[in-house]
Amino acid sequence: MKAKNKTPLVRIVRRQDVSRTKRYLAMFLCFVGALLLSTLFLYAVGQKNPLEAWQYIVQGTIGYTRSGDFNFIKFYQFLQSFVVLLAIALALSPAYRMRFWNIGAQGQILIGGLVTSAIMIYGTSLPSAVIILFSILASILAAGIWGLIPAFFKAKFNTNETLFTLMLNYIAVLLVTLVCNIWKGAHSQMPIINQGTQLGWLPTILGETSILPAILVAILVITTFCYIRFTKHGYEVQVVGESVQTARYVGINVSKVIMRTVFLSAALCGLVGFFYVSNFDHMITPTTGGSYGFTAIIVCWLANFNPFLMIPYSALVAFLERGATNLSNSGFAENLNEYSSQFILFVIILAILIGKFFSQYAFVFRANANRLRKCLLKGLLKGE
Amino acid sequence: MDTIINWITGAVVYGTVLAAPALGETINEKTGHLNLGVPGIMYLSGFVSYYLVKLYTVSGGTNSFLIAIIALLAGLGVGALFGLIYSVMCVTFKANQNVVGLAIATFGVGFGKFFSTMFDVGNESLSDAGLLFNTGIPYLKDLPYVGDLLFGYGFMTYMMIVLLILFFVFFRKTRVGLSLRAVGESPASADAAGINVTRYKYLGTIVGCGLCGWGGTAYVFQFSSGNWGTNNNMEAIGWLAIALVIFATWNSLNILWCAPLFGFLYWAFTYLPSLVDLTFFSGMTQILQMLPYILTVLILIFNSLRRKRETQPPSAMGLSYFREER
Repeated sequence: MKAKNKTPLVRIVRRQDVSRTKRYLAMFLCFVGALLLSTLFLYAVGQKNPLEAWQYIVQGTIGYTRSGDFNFIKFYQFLQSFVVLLAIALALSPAYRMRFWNIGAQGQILIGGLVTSAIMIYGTSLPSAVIILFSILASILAAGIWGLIPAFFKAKFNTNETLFTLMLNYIAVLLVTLVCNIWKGAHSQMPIINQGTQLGWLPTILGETSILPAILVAILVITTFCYIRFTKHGYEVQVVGESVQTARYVGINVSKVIMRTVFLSAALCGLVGFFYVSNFDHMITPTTGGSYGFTAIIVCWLANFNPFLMIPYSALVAFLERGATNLSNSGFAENLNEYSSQFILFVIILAILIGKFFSQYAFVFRANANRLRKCLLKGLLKGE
Repeated sequence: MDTIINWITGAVVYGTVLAAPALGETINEKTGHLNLGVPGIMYLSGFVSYYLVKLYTVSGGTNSFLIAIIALLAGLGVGALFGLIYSVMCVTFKANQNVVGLAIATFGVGFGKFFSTMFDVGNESLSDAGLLFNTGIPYLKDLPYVGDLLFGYGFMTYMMIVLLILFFVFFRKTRVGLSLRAVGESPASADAAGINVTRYKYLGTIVGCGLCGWGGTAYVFQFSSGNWGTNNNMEAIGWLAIALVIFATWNSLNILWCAPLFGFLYWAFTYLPSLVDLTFFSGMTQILQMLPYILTVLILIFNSLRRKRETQPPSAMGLSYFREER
């Protein structure tokens, strides 16, 4: 009887010293693969020229009106989604660097928005600027404290923060539903707050609500980068993220760092809620923020918590979402409705995750024992 | 009396919808995978089982046994497919579990909406199938009081009770079940003991996600009596199922009473006002609906304070396992 070959058919080996170019190449190839797959999907479902479908998707962001002018309305819609997504992803990143898996962004946004609308509704005797100032402070504080609750228990008793923040999301949703029910009274839905007086509405630039947030987010990108890279706080966050034991050993107060960072992170999410109410929607509903709280988590992770890399990723998500809406509105193909972006995004996200894998690991097949030896040797030489 | 009976039966039906994904999620978490994709899996599974049953009945099919089989297999199949995607991504490609889970949660709902728009399913009710999933045990269900309370539920309720008990035994007494738990607690030790970690992780995730799919099936047919139009609650139930796993402290036998308890709280806003002579203010509904989440948070805190080993989450939950990195 022949002895059974015990070597597995495929082995996963960690790659050593992969250059940055190679890493990006792996990601890029996976991304291209995802685009091809999406094109196939557009063709299979739409039964029409998929390139034309892509054209409609592009025009969801960069389009022209009938008279041939640049379609600013579509662009600003894109800008709003993009900026909101980027802001949430940025807000989450310090906590994620610390490996504090805050998936409660949605709830923190809602709490920020709720406080803002309360001030806008009850503070009508105050001047607009004061309302805005109070709203900003209150939304930061309220959302920060909302995030501080799970952080406190994580820091003191190591309570699982993922599950805790997840629960807080739904508590926040129900809280907003409750308050909205009281506020709307006899109305069938929540009315726009201070529609006549525009009290507490954030002033617009060029009449557009998304320009001011875009500028602020641009500043936030750089601030977040500098905060993590150049400040003592950022250093502490990184050490806690790498190893809690090490952090304790070098004398970092771990609980303090956890609570401070999560407070900041949640406060920024609350600020997004403020922008939703005071700037974009001028009202609050339980669905304010939509699923961006979750999508931003994905964006944040895909970008390796790097503020600059978050820009293309959140732009991509916003671009595809607007594009799919445009594709569906154009009536190009009956079956390609506004939810078709979901498929494309899902495929792209999985592809990027696979790309990330291949930039760190390699498959080695049984037949290719030489390669395995090489990989292991390289590891040995590096002292691993 | 009728109100109380209605309340309890409503709670059990709601509990059935919750129990399936909660059991699935328990299995996932026991193998070390915090699968956050439950709402998405439920949504798409619910839609596919609805749509396939609709196709079958529209083409003239009336065989009730086949209807049940189609619905159950569709739910299980879609769930298992998501489980496969999840485990390929998280086990083989070592992607972050939260990211993949959330992607499935958001995009699963997106896929469901995509298909229901594409196939243009409106609010047509599959009332025959709905009736089938709500028929109690013959003869026994006609008994006064006891009939409604114990024997009046659809077959999925009894199926879930049996499954919950079976899985409790499975995790305590069988070799495979113990190995699964070992993989979730410490994959490195399990590997050293000769357990094929990858295989068990795949197995646990696919079976678990398949069961999550049944949550969608139960929701569409048993909870909404064969309607697709009333699916707006499904996501909330999906998240609640994850809460239930914590509430039941990763013990499938506890789900047996925790799931109806959550159902009891869910229906409180409908039945409580007529029982107790209280004038409820308009926000009472939400406060009562908040209770399951708040209770779960309290349980979570309480368990982390107590540090009792039986009530802790599986210790390797959320971590990818790579053999060379121990």
